[in-house]
Amino acid sequence: MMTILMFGWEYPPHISGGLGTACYNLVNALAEKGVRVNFITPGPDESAGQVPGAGMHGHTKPIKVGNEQLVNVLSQLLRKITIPSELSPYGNKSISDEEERREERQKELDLAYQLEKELANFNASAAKALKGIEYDVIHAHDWPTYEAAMLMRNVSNKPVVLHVHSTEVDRNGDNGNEFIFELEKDGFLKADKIITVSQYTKNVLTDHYKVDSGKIEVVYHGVPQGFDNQITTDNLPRFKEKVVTFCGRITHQKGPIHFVNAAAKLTEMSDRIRFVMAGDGDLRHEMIELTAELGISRRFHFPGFLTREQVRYLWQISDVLVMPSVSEPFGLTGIEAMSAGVPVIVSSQSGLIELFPHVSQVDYWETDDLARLIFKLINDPQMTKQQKQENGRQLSKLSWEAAASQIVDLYHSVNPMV
Amino acid sequence: MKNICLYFQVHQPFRLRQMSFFNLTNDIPYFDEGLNKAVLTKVAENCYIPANRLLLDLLKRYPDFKITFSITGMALDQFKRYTPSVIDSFQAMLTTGSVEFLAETNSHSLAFVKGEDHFLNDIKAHGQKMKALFDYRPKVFRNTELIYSDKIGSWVKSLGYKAMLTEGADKVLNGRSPNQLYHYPEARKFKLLLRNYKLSDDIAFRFSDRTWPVWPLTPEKFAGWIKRLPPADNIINLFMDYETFGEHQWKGTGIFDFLADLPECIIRDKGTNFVTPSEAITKVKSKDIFRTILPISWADEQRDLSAWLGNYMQLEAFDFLYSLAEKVNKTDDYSISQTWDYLQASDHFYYMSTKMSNDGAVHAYFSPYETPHEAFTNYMNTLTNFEYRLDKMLKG
Repeated sequence: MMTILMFGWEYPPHISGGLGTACYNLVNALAEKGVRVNFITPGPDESAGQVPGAGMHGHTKPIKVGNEQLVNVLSQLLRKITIPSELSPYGNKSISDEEERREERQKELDLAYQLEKELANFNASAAKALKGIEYDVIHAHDWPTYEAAMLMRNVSNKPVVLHVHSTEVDRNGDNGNEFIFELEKDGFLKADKIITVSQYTKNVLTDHYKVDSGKIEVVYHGVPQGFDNQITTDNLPRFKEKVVTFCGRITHQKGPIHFVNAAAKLTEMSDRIRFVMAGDGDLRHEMIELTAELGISRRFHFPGFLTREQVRYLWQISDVLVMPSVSEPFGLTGIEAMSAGVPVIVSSQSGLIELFPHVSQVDYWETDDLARLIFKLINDPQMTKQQKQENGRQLSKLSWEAAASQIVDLYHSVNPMV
Repeated sequence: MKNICLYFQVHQPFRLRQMSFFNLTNDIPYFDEGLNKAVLTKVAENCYIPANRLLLDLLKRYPDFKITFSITGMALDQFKRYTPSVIDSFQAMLTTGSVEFLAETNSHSLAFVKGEDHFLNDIKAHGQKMKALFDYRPKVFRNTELIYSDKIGSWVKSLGYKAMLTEGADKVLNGRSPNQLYHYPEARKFKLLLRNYKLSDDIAFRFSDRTWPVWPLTPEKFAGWIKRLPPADNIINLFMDYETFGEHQWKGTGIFDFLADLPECIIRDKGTNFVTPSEAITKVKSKDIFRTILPISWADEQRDLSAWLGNYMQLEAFDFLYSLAEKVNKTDDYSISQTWDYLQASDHFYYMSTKMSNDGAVHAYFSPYETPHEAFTNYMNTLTNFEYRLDKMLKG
């Protein structure tokens, strides 16, 4: 039986982004194929007394090593995704007070320091806790776990597969954090194989990280499913207006400002539209102020961070999901919305369009076009119907089973012994 | 003679519940009954009850001691609901004949910004409560947060009030003393009493500040400062929140001892005594015209409307609120109009201020929200729900 040592930094039910959902679905699909996965994630060890590495199949719990601190730091990072280097610009921050600015800066430096410390702690704990565990391949999801994977390779001489769900370039463009960028670059260089979630992300790796394209394989996600309860829709708000939704981290990467600007244009075209910007992030307050300044906040709502269940409620009342991301490796939120029957508009800078070429797309900076597209979609039942049908067709082709098959083949290619 | 006018403002807003996005069109209550009751009960125990007891005692002991109160309609509603005995103790003070109540806005609103009609409605509602609860008809007016402008003055004057209280704002006084009586430009008979913010804040803000070079403040010291003011200064207006006593300045600071000993220190000196605003305008001659086109207030360093209407969030929320006025009138429903009153409270806008430094700290002290942005989004959600409720009523 093939055994995998898999690293990720979040796993259901404790998740803050798409990564945990993807890992959960992937582990289950691999288990179906008879692959045994030891899933390692940072956190306090809850399985005291159990033999470490007893393994997990599908629904069993991940092995937690180290403590909660790394997860806390990473969650904070996700909300406020930049940690500054010394030259970090403050030009467009709305902080006028010198003292506040200093405090803010100190907080960010503290976070950067904590990150390095907690990463080192996690790596050391992992190495210690995983002594004596047998496995055939090491598989690590996103940058926080790359170093730990390399450490384990040093111990076991087993091949490393890195799985790229997003990169620092996606999250922060050219203003990214150098520490994280270097960590990624180093990992990509040393990895035996790399999986990206889209061709789009593969291009990011070859263009920005100068990774040899022969080393990279694209594996598309399936449709997220599995750990949700039934929802009741009795008490949902019943708006008489159309509902245009943004759902995700309110950070530079997700393009919230383009959504707000398009909303302002749409408000001029019709007073029968309501906007929702769900999620949290370092730009949330700025976006709230901007909607006020543009005079559109009467019809613009900021529900804050939503639980998975609440997100599913949100799909029930949304007429369209708009994802104007500056850079979107895959866009699992879009898949979730489509599965719930919500049509989607994405930016052309999104991996999603590789699988859903029919979906309405626009360059994220073209807010006039974006507004027109939204207006057309919510007012054209025929167009909505067509997109839903086509979405359904494409969704049915996606499967975690296919993803798992592809990955199993890849495991064999890096370790022909199993 | 130096006449001291001691006026205390009594106010408590109805704070909002968290209005979740998923409840926007559902029929749920807006106001946080639990929080409002808890705050009012706490402030009553710390301030209203012990301070009223002390003042009644002082009023009986010193016939020359005078106090002026202004109590918003929202505070009166909450007393009625949670601590009715507080109303009785105000009534008891009124019965001594040494206490004056002011007319003001029922909702502690900024209605005047949206025109005379909104403003007059809010004043009328307060008048009805004063009549019903105290059988009292005030003669002198104070606007929300001591906000004043020529336009506001002209409206209040035409209602028949004899005088108004406002801030002794430097930018309007322009070097003149706040310690004199002023009058409206075209009407000598309509008087203006101006707050001496320095002496008022010595008690309200600095009393417990140990870094203040003259700390601790004693009644003797304070009376001495008043006595040494220039001879022409004949009316010293000490205006402050009533909650200064026992709430903003807690009991342990000695604030009640200060209040207990102040009357004697003032009265025993032949050069100083207490007056109410109505007495002041008959005893003291007005000196000069007070004129300001732009509204002034007693809040923040800027002493203008920027505490409530200083950023886009505040302006947006304010416009949304008053855009619903017509629908509110059409419903002609008691519960709707009461909700409308409570939503108009300036406090909601105060919580949305994004000011920093000292002013920001004061805003944060009063706010039940973590950030001004939460205050804004919650208020907007509440108004959205209110708009749906109004539409439903008008349609059905």
